[in-house]
Amino acid sequence: MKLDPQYYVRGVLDRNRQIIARTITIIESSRHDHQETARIIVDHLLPCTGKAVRLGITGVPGAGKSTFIETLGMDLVRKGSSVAVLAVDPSSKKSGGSIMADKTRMERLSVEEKAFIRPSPSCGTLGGVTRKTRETMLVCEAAGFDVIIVETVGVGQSETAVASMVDFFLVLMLSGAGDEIQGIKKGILELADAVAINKADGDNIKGAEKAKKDYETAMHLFNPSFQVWEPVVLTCSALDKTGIDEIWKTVLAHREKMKTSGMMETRRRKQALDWMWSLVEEGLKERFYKNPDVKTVLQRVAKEVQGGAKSPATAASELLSSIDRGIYGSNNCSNSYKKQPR
Amino acid sequence: MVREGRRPRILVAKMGQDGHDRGFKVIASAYADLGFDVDISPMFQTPAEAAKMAVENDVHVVGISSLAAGHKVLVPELINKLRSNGCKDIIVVVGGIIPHADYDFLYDAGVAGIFGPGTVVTDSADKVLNVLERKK
Repeated sequence: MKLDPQYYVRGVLDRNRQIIARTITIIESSRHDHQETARIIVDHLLPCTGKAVRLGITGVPGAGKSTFIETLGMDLVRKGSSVAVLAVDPSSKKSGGSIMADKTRMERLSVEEKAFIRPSPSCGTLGGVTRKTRETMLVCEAAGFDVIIVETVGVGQSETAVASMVDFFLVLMLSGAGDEIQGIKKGILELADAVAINKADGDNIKGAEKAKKDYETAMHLFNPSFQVWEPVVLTCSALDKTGIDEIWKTVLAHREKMKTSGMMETRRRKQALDWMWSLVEEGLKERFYKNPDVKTVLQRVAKEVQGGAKSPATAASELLSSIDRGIYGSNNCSNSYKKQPR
Repeated sequence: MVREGRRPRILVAKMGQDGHDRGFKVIASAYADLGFDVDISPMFQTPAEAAKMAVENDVHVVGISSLAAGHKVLVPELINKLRSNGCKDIIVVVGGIIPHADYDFLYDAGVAGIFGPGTVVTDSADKVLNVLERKK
């Protein structure tokens, strides 16, 4: 694989589909030299980003996220927009492999010339997105896509990472999935800009309306994240294609309000900070696992814990202090400081 | 995996008027169990659609499941589409019901492996990985 960042920057700006795809591969790569190249590419592309509508979609498994995106995406393409979809699928804890079948639910959108759909394995990252979804999103933005949709893995109650990278956070729900108390639990719903009760079709219309009322009452109790926007609850059917237009109008209305009030800028600045922290956390983790002292200690304590000779807590504490030793031990300043006679 | 910075990624695809999807699901699931990242195509794809998906998802391998005798037309067309999209390094393998008389035709068209009924899944994965290894 080529490692010249300029090749990728040019390719992305030229909207070369193959180079966009390769760039995403490099961004997601675990190889150090790839990561370095990726950082340079993203830095170069950054000035060309910021114009797209960034929409995050989450929901429990089976809520109809992919089908919803198929319907919304086709609507947008028909209206002349180009759409990039970043779909995240879970990786197996057992084998590390994954099955990415989003496009089987996006049969029409996946063959559209104006659509780019990239499924990515979660690779063990929690929070519903991958380690690199944010960077991937920026690549698609630089390539000129008008709307970027991030589809998370099917989530539970606290997978909120995607909210820290999009302009609009939509939560898809199903009717009959809990009462008001489920609604006022902290976690996903308090971050939602809108909740849509999907599958409001056939016999389910009444149930969906009732769920809508329940969630409305529940969400009314939340402190809104932004003063200019009170989260709304809607119903839709991705299958019957009803209510989708309404949701898109809500996204646009929200965008308008956030922009004119300056909140959009505030939100994106805060997200830049979130981005920094997530990189720091990821870097810390990587340093820990690559630390030679940790590797030595790990080999020993892993056996001890497995054999029952040592408690997991003691082992963890030993591992963590071995990285401290690494930091202070290799730091010449602190050593020379200690040796200095007073 | 260390060299590539990611797991081997395969697109398991169905093309043409071929509704037999059992084998393709078994293969997808088995390859994921072997540690592959597996993309699944919708049914009834055209070669151009399958190629677009392979390009966007940036896979190493496309595995075509063919049980309805479209392979002599669809597979070469897919390979052409991949090459014309600039993907010279994506390899194509075929599985399913392929008459032995057609093997040479497919190999000549650029197919890297053919796996008929009775193939042990791990053997096929092994072969795919070996082809990838040699490509580098």
